[in-house]
Amino acid sequence: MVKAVRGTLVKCDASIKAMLVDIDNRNNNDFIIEDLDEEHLLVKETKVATLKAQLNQMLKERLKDPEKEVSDAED
Amino acid sequence: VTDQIRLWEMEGERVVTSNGYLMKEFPSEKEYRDVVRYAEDVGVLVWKDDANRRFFINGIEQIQGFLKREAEKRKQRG
Repeated sequence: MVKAVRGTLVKCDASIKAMLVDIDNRNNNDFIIEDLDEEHLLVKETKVATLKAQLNQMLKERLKDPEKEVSDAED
Repeated sequence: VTDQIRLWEMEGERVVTSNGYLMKEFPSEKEYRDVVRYAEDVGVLVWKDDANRRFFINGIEQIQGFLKREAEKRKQRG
Protein backbone atom coordinates (compact mmCIF):
# COMPACT_ATOMS: atom_id res chain seq x y z
CA MET A 1 0.00 0.00 0.00
CA VAL A 2 1.30 3.43 -0.96
CA LYS A 3 2.14 5.68 1.98
CA ALA A 4 2.02 9.49 2.16
CA VAL A 5 4.15 11.04 4.91
CA ARG A 6 3.54 14.71 5.64
CA GLY A 7 6.60 16.86 6.25
CA THR A 8 9.05 19.46 4.99
CA LEU A 9 11.62 18.57 2.36
CA VAL A 10 14.95 20.23 3.14
CA LYS A 11 17.42 20.54 0.27
CA CYS A 12 20.96 21.60 1.14
CA ASP A 13 24.56 20.74 0.38
CA ALA A 14 26.19 17.77 2.09
CA SER A 15 28.11 19.84 4.67
CA ILE A 16 24.96 21.63 5.85
CA LYS A 17 23.12 18.29 5.90
CA ALA A 18 25.77 16.81 8.18
CA MET A 19 25.22 19.72 10.57
CA LEU A 20 21.44 19.20 10.53
CA VAL A 21 21.86 15.47 11.27
CA ASP A 22 24.20 16.41 14.11
CA ILE A 23 21.60 18.84 15.56
CA ASP A 24 18.93 16.12 15.25
CA ASN A 25 21.13 13.63 17.11
CA ARG A 26 21.62 16.10 19.95
CA ASN A 27 17.83 16.60 20.23
CA ASN A 28 16.63 12.99 20.68
CA ASN A 29 16.17 12.63 16.90
CA ASP A 30 13.07 14.76 17.21
CA PHE A 31 13.52 16.81 13.98
CA ILE A 32 14.26 14.47 11.09
CA ILE A 33 11.64 11.98 9.87
CA GLU A 34 13.77 10.43 7.12
CA ASP A 35 17.28 10.84 5.76
CA LEU A 36 16.58 10.71 2.00
CA ASP A 37 19.89 11.16 0.20
CA GLU A 38 23.12 13.21 0.30
CA GLU A 39 21.31 16.51 -0.12
CA HIS A 40 17.75 15.87 1.09
CA LEU A 41 16.04 15.36 4.45
CA LEU A 42 12.40 14.98 5.42
CA VAL A 43 11.79 17.08 8.55
CA LYS A 44 8.77 17.53 10.84
CA GLU A 45 6.92 20.66 9.72
CA THR A 46 6.56 21.88 13.30
CA LYS A 47 10.33 21.65 13.90
CA VAL A 48 11.68 23.44 10.83
CA ALA A 49 11.90 26.85 12.54
CA THR A 50 13.79 25.42 15.54
CA LEU A 51 16.12 23.48 13.26
CA LYS A 52 16.87 26.62 11.21
CA ALA A 53 17.57 28.63 14.35
CA GLN A 54 19.97 25.99 15.64
CA LEU A 55 21.72 25.77 12.27
CA ASN A 56 22.19 29.54 12.23
CA GLN A 57 23.60 29.35 15.75
CA MET A 58 26.03 26.64 14.64
CA LEU A 59 27.12 28.61 11.56
CA LYS A 60 27.61 31.67 13.70
CA GLU A 61 29.85 29.75 16.08
CA ARG A 62 31.93 28.57 13.16
CA LEU A 63 32.35 32.16 12.02
CA LYS A 64 33.46 33.37 15.43
CA ASP A 65 37.15 33.28 14.62
CA PRO A 66 36.95 35.22 11.33
CA GLU A 67 34.72 37.77 13.11
CA LYS A 68 37.41 38.26 15.72
CA GLU A 69 40.00 38.93 13.04
CA VAL A 70 37.75 41.54 11.45
CA SER A 71 37.16 43.38 14.73
CA ASP A 72 40.87 43.21 15.56
CA ALA A 73 41.70 44.72 12.19
CA GLU A 74 39.22 47.53 12.78
CA ASP A 75 40.86 48.32 16.11
CA VAL B 1 23.30 43.45 12.74
CA THR B 2 25.48 43.04 9.66
CA ASP B 3 26.44 39.55 10.81
CA GLN B 4 22.81 38.50 11.19
CA ILE B 5 21.97 39.56 7.64
CA ARG B 6 24.99 37.78 6.26
CA LEU B 7 24.17 34.56 8.11
CA TRP B 8 20.55 34.66 6.98
CA GLU B 9 21.53 35.17 3.36
CA MET B 10 24.09 32.43 3.57
CA GLU B 11 21.52 30.01 4.94
CA GLY B 12 18.92 31.19 2.43
CA GLU B 13 21.24 30.33 -0.41
CA ARG B 14 22.22 26.96 0.90
CA VAL B 15 18.97 25.58 2.31
CA VAL B 16 15.71 25.28 0.38
CA THR B 17 12.58 23.94 2.07
CA SER B 18 9.14 22.94 0.78
CA ASN B 19 6.11 21.58 2.62
CA GLY B 20 4.23 18.57 1.34
CA TYR B 21 4.23 14.79 1.33
CA LEU B 22 6.75 12.01 0.82
CA MET B 23 5.12 9.24 -1.23
CA LYS B 24 6.64 5.79 -0.77
CA GLU B 25 6.19 2.01 -0.67
CA PHE B 26 4.84 1.61 -4.19
CA PRO B 27 4.09 -2.08 -4.74
CA SER B 28 5.28 -2.10 -8.35
CA GLU B 29 7.63 -0.24 -10.68
CA LYS B 30 4.75 0.48 -13.08
CA GLU B 31 2.52 1.99 -10.41
CA TYR B 32 5.41 4.14 -9.19
CA ARG B 33 6.20 5.38 -12.70
CA ASP B 34 2.56 6.17 -13.51
CA VAL B 35 2.08 8.25 -10.36
CA VAL B 36 5.44 10.02 -10.63
CA ARG B 37 4.68 10.96 -14.24
CA TYR B 38 1.26 12.27 -13.22
CA ALA B 39 2.81 14.31 -10.39
CA GLU B 40 5.29 15.81 -12.85
CA ASP B 41 2.51 16.60 -15.38
CA VAL B 42 0.35 18.46 -12.84
CA GLY B 43 3.40 20.29 -11.49
CA VAL B 44 3.56 19.05 -7.88
CA LEU B 45 6.74 16.94 -8.12
CA VAL B 46 9.61 18.42 -6.07
CA TRP B 47 12.06 15.52 -5.75
CA LYS B 48 12.20 11.86 -6.77
CA ASP B 49 14.28 8.80 -6.04
CA ASP B 50 13.59 6.15 -8.70
CA ALA B 51 15.91 3.57 -7.13
CA ASN B 52 13.81 3.47 -3.96
CA ARG B 53 10.43 4.25 -5.57
CA ARG B 54 9.72 7.38 -3.57
CA PHE B 55 9.12 11.04 -4.35
CA PHE B 56 8.10 14.32 -2.73
CA ILE B 57 5.11 16.45 -3.78
CA ASN B 58 3.96 19.91 -2.65
CA GLY B 59 0.25 19.19 -3.27
CA ILE B 60 -1.65 15.98 -2.59
CA GLU B 61 -5.30 16.43 -3.68
CA GLN B 62 -4.73 15.62 -7.35
CA ILE B 63 -2.45 12.70 -6.51
CA GLN B 64 -5.03 11.20 -4.13
CA GLY B 65 -7.64 11.45 -6.90
CA PHE B 66 -5.29 9.79 -9.35
CA LEU B 67 -4.46 6.93 -6.95
CA LYS B 68 -8.16 6.38 -6.31
CA ARG B 69 -8.94 6.21 -10.03
CA GLU B 70 -6.05 3.81 -10.62
CA ALA B 71 -7.27 1.58 -7.78
CA GLU B 72 -10.77 1.54 -9.30
CA LYS B 73 -9.34 0.57 -12.68
CA ARG B 74 -7.43 -2.32 -11.12
CA LYS B 75 -10.58 -3.48 -9.32
CA GLN B 76 -12.57 -3.49 -12.55
CA ARG B 77 -9.88 -5.48 -14.29
CA GLY B 78 -10.15 -7.93 -11.41
